[in-house]
Amino acid sequence: MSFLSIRNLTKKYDGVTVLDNISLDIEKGSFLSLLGPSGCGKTTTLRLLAGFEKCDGGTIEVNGKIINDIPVYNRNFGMVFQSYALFPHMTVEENIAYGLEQRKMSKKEIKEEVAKAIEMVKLTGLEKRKPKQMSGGQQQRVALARALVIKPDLLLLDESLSALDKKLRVEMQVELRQIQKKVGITTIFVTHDQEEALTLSDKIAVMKAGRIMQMGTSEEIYETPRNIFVASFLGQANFFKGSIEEKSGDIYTLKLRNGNVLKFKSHKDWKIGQLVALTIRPEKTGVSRVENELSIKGKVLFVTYVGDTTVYRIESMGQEVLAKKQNSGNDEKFNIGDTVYLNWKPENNLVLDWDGEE
Amino acid sequence: MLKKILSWFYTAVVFIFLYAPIAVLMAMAFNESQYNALPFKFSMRWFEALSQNTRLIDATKNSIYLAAITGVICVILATALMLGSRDTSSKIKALVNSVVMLPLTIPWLIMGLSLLLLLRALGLDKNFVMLLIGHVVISLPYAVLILSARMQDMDKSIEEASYSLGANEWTTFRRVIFPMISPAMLAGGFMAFMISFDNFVLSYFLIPTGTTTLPIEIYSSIKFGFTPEINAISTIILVLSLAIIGIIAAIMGSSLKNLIR
Repeated sequence: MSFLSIRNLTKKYDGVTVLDNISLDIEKGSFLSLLGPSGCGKTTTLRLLAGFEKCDGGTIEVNGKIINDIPVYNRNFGMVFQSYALFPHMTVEENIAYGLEQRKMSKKEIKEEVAKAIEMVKLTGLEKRKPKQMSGGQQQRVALARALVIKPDLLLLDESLSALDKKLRVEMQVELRQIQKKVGITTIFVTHDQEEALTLSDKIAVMKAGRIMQMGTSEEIYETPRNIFVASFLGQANFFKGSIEEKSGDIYTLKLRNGNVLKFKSHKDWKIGQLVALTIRPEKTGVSRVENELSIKGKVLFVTYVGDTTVYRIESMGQEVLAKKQNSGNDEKFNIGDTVYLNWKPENNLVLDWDGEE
Repeated sequence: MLKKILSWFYTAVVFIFLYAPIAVLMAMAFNESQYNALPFKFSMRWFEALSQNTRLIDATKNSIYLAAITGVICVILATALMLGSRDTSSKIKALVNSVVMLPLTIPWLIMGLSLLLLLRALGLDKNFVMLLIGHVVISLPYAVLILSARMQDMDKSIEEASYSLGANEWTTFRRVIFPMISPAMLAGGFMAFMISFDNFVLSYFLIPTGTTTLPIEIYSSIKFGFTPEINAISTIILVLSLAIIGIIAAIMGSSLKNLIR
């Protein structure tokens, strides 16, 4: 049985459904990211978990116990807010001790625990500072220490790193993950940053319009997205959208809306007339001067050198296609205006259902 | 250069316009002459006379007493209103806001008259409670204005953080909300105090017979020809209120610097 389990969670604001029958399970000690664009319901999910808001349906279970009606202050969940929400009139020490004081611990114990927490987040020496006397990264650490020191059953992070600048953010990501592993605390992290989600999580739940589109490990979600939204939200992807025109063995002919036709190989069974989106990641799109059976013809529109990779923007099949090539030293170079052939390994093309919309 | 001189001149004129009358009043409190006449001759005689004038002192005490209770009630009401209406829908918020703010637009004259008529209708004599109610009604909007400004820029998640750390509503108020809004409560209370202390019209309608407040006392002594004792008491009040404002500004200033990121 999983540690935390959410069943059919639903939330409405003024009649508008923001969370539509969400169900998910989390193992003890694992790190789950809720990833999605703004308005997808990820923050609402977190707030329902924390207990700041009441749901309109469904249950939240922790360790087999339904916690829907337990008030926030009896849930024992630690939360780190986007704005950190440190108590401005208290010092670092007082901020961290606050949760322990609510737990009626002795002064001596509190002092020890606070000192340990401060050491863990590397803020030794700053105990007497007020929040406004510290940098964003330091405030972030205080917020994390304050949430962890109460030994919560669940750690909730609400876009907690997004206020930091890029370099600090990457540092904090690593540190956050190390601390989380060391403490072994079950963590739910809300973010709109796909890169952050990919680096930090054991599992990612991609959300859209109040639903979970897909949940899985970073690799599962990136390599085998279940639908067009997930494929386009995590990383980049080339889509060829059209209907299946012909089938001979495992070679299918796809007719795009603009009338162009291309062939692809798939081991799955697709019906004639079915609407699909042939999906290939840019880094798996090969560029060559040589034609082969399944390759498609194109013309280089633009070349961007990005150091470790070169990105080609190619016009093919009446649309723009991205191809990303690793720069390994002795690669074939292509220039603007060159005629090229795009190819990919059959195992690297994904065929996703397409609802016919843009 | 000319522009600079002109702008200084303009500022000086505005300042003279605003503060010259007050300066004259204060100066005359220390003038020997009974008729505020020149030449100026320094004397403390009006302050001495004031110390013997029990009527004026009693009126001042009454005013302070009334204004202090008004101030305290207004702060408590305003804080409760602001905390309570924060999480409600915008409709209810707008309703509460307009009901509380309405007395700002009703002339005090009409407010006083209607409260007096209410007393008559209830068959009651003028009494302290009704006077106090009147003062609270007209002072509350000012306390609410100051407190709501502070509450609006308070980060709600700070409170939520307190709950998530295991503190219940009361502890959260005591240890997190109160320290953050106490400067605004102080300022709001002082504002309400000043509005009440200063009020003549409403008090005139509602004051129980036989008692008096300072504004009423000053007004009636003007009718009968007044002595610079009035200047003396005005000067004392002015100096005291400036001192209080100074203290509050100092508290607010330093705590604002501490609180607002």
